[in-house]
Amino acid sequence: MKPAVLIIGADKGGVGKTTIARTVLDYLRAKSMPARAFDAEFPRGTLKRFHPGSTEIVDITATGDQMKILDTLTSSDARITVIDIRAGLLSSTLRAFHDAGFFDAVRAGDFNFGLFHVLGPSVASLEEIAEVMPYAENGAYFAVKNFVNETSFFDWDPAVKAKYFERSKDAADINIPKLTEMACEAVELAGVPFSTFIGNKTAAGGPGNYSLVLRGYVRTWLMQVAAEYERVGVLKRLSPGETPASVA
Amino acid sequence: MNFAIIVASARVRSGKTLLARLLAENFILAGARPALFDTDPVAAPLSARFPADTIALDLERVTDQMALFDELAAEAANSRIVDLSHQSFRRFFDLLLDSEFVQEARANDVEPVVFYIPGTDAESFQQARLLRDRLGDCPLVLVENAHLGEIRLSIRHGDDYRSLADSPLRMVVPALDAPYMTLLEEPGLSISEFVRAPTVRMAPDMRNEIRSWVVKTLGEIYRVLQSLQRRMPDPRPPSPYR
Repeated sequence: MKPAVLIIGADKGGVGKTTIARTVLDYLRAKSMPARAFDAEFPRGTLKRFHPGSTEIVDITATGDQMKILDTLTSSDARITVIDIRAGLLSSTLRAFHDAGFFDAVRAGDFNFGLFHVLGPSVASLEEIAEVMPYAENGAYFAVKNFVNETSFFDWDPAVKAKYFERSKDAADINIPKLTEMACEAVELAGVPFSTFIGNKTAAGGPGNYSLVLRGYVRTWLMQVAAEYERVGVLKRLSPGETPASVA
Repeated sequence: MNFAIIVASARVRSGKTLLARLLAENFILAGARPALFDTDPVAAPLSARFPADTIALDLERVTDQMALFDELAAEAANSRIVDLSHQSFRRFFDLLLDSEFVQEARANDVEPVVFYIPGTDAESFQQARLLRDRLGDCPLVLVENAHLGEIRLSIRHGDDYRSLADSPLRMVVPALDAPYMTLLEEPGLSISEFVRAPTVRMAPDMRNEIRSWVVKTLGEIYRVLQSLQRRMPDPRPPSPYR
């Protein structure tokens, strides 16, 4: 499988981007797809806190760190490189990658590209989409609505939606369902991947002693999220044209 | 080994609380002190009967869900009985099945069992069968409450009823005439006291009627619980990690 880059970004803070990045890492692990992650929330790194083994913190505005990611795409064991971009830096990061020749390489077929664009609940998101989607012209674009905190989203006007979405050959909607607040908080407190919380373990592998009920909630929710990723074919779209056997 | 007993019905007014009460009295008469749970925090009928031993919960609240399930699955000195309100039915079983409740309870030597009271119509038995199938290896006891009326022959011959009836985990709550039932439901009347050394004054034939019904019904309960205990695999040796 060709190396793929999946950027997870939002132009607005607080939309739950890192929560989504965490579910993606769990999903890829469940599908036995070797993945690595770069946490662009330099210097603090929320994603790294939850997935320390697979995540490196980078300063995505620094050319050196951009090169660190792009130059190792082929050499890394990881088939999918997930980049969690700090809120507000999505457009500028895409531009920087463009200037570094990444999107030319995608067009040339060297790499696959996917974009999880985590949307805010307001109509202003449509303009963000217009700005960001062109970068996904030769890749897969996913508009992700995060209902984890039960935000209500504006309703897409079908005509307007079609107009924005027609620009990407490969666009899809993902809805991340709500997860009850107490369960979210418990996982935050535990500081472990969702799958580890469900398995009732701590980061060190010891007994987690987390509530039975909250583990059940997280398990059901994570299964629903995985079902969404299956439904829109996240893995298939990150490796278009490759035979199912070569993709986990 | 102790039980985590869930008394449930998909309908209102099917005799759940009466059954929960009788189950509690079964353990009390054996010298135990069962822990009881009301899931209707407003009416809280069990709390009225057993104020010192009942916890009333609102399963709409995640904290109360946690309190109930964590408690039910935990190691225990006594059996536990949940009077599952009709409103909480769906949420309760979703939680039970979405979490690792049954597994964790068994790891703590607690055996979950559902006592289910269907109505008398065909749909009731269909729902009972669906629930039993959903519950998998968590046993379901079918409880026919004679007070709900006759089950028509056509239903008794139906697939659902027959599939459910073909199990030793069945019991009947026999009919008790209304005036006697009213007496039994009096707030001041404790069934265990009534059986051991009744203090409430009543006419001898009334006492005999009620006593006879109580003995019969407790006998049914005892038989079913024995049957459940016999099915249990040999107790696991204590975990070296405790």
